[in-house]
Amino acid sequence: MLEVRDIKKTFSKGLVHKKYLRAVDGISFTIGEKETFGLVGESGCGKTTVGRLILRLMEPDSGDVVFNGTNITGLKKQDLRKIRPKMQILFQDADSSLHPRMRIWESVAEPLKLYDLVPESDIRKKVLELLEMVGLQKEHLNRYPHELSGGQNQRVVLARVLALRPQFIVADEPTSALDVSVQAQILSLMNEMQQKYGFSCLFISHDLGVIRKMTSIMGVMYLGKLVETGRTEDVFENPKHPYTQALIASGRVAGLDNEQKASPIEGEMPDPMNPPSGCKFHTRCPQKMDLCEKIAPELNNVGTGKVACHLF
Amino acid sequence: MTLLSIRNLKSYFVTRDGVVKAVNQVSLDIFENETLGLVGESGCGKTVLALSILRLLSENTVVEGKISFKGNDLLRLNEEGMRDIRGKEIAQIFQNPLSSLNPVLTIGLQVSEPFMLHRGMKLSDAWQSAISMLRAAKIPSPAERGKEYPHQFSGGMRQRAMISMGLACNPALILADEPTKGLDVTIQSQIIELMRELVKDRKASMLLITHDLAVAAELCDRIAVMYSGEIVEVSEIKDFLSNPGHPYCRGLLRSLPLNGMEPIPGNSPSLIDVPEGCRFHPRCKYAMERCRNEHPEMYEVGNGRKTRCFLYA
Amino acid sequence: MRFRDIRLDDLLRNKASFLGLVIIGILAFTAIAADFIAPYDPNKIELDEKLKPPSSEHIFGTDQLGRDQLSRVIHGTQTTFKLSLIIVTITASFGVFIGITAGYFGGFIDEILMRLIDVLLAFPSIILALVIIGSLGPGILNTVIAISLVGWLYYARVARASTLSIKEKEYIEGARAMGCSEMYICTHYILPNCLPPIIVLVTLNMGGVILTIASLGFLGLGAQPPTPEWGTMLNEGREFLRDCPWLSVVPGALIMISVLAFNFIGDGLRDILDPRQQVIK
Repeated sequence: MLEVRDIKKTFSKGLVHKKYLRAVDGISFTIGEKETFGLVGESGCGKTTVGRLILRLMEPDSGDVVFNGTNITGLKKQDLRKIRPKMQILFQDADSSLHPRMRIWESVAEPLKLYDLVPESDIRKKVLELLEMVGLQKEHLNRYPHELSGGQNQRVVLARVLALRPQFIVADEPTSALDVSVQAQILSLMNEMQQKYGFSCLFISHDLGVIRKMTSIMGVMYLGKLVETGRTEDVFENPKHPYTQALIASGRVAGLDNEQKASPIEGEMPDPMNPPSGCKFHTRCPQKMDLCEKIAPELNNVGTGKVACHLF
Repeated sequence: MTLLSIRNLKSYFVTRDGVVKAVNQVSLDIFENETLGLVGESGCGKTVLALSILRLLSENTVVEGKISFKGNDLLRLNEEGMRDIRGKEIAQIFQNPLSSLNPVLTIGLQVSEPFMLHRGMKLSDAWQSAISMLRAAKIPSPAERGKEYPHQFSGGMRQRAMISMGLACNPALILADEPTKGLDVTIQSQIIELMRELVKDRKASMLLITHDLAVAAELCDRIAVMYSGEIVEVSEIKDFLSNPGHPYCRGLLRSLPLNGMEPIPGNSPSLIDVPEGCRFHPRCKYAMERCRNEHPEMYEVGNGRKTRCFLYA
Repeated sequence: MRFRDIRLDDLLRNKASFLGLVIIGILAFTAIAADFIAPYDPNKIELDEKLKPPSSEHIFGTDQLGRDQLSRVIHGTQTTFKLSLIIVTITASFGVFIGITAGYFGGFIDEILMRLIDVLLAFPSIILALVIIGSLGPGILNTVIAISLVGWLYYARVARASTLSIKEKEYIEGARAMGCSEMYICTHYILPNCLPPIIVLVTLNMGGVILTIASLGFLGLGAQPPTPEWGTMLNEGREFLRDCPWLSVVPGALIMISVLAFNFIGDGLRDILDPRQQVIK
């Protein structure tokens, strides 16, 4: 369905003394039909950039993105626009994902008009149908985005995106700005819609609980690289990379979870402009060896998944 | 022993669209040497409650009620008396350290400030105390890093600096407003660990305001849940997590991803136009006739627990 | 930040803007209906009646050629308003077009356009206008050209600045992901969202343009006699300032009042668009 092959993106900063930031440093994964792939990592690890690169909202420096057999990295603008409606995105901040001067119904009607999906006379009916499907009512039709709550706006964005009947959606932390009870509403709506429309999804999040609930396979990113991938249940049951272990340990909640809280890992993420040599995690790794400082580990098959660590 | 006792506190804002009843008849006690979590969703009034305690709200707010702290009623104290309390007796840790720190002063100088202001220390002594505070907050090589500016610190380090500033004068009470918001999970657990250590060490009390039940579960002894400007449940944290009383609290726990992520239907009401009767009744699956017409009080449930629900009347 | 539309009742709430709106309303009506409400033909010369002080027959008196001063200021209002509207329309639309293009596409285009604007801004605008009129010759059309040539610069800058911030918003990225063309995004997404500061600038700029038209007229480079125009009238009245002050005071006062009124409205609009005005007392 979607295959990402070794994509890379480097940002540069400054005119004279150029500094380079390897936001995405060679990432590959595949997403199957109706599957949800979870991408986890801390802020600044490049997970958002991956989502943008796949949709070509940013141009990758190298690597390929193959969608339904078409390599979209080489596509010209016109051809790309034909594929666009099939690949959509949900953003973290729903309030700013909608045109502030458009009424809700106009926002939802826009994609329908853009691609002539329904005859002009049926647009209002179709819009109402879409909005009711995502749990909004007739009274919301004529409101503006700033008159709705974050959760309601995220529903509008979902209706707008689903109007195009996409085959693939990038969900970039769609609920991290929302309260837990609203988050639960939106995520179960997404699950319901996925059942109904059968799209595949790249679900980007820093919240492990959400990833565990929403995805079937996942990848963990650290400083632009994937350090571990595998089936979500396997990764949570038996995390292999020391970073994955640390992440899962910090996500655990005493009292809510039966397991004992582990002590947090030391240190902070290094400056991505000036990343450490060898394995990028070695500065914080509790199981560091001499080898780790020198050679960057490859992503190798370990058990049911893949891990980039010299321990395996 | 009760350290801070809030009685019938009301904080209202007057806006063009109507009166926002951000805090409505809240009564709450914070005991000595305890951490009380104040949990609620955004817009439920929890931050306004904290700002009311320090009287930091803007001019257009109406604040009524009584807040007793060490024999003083904070709402009746004059501005000078209030200044003595702020920072010295009651300290605050904000949620966004980048905008709460002064960008043109070094971190060390900012942490020195409370020592000079409230303890009357000279700069050189205050600086030494500041460096040892930074060391206590586990900032590596504090003597050098104290000379740096806020933008040179990472998010986690800035929050550590904020915490050392807050704890500088050994306050009796710390108001921490979402201290871990916006931090990554691994950094978040480091900060939680640090706060637990420092607050317990100093035998201070803390009012921890958060929307994150996981953070509250880690740090608090007791928890108070706010909904639509009111406290709906006060309980020991253990009892709360194992057996929440109020239907809203049950829904909140069940909506966590690891508890099944079962949503509460509907939206939080606006604070201008609150529902009649129990404020939660339009979203409550246990709603009875009584809930629609009468406003419930806080009912004793046992073991110091109180719940604002007719199921326990 | 929440978005608020400009609402008329907000503007009316502000006393200064209310006053401004009333004044501009009256002046605009005067300009439109000039042919019907002017009691005399503004260019009809009656030398017997020259330099008459205000009376019931001639409310603002008559000038050195015996023309009715009231009729002349009424028609002068029309001239001024027509000219400034034309100039502001030209400059605002051209400036916004350039600003959005530079801001949205960025890179090389942006670099070139912005440096050009920097160079043009380095000239004092009134002197540039004088040079242009000096070479093209005085007259109404050349006034429009001279003022427009530098007038669009500020619009371009403001539009570019708003475009740069709007461009980063998620809804633009969403529109691109939806397959909207660049053109569609610029006209349907960027343009409506960068309008509020442009509207403020238009009202504030109206005052400035009226002042420049009058200055050029006063210097004898703008509208040429016998066309009634405030600046030209001011210049003609200057000779008789001691004996017939009404000839200068009336057009002078009108220039001041109309500039002030536009500034009042502009300030009021700016306050409304300021997000900090959300909670009012």
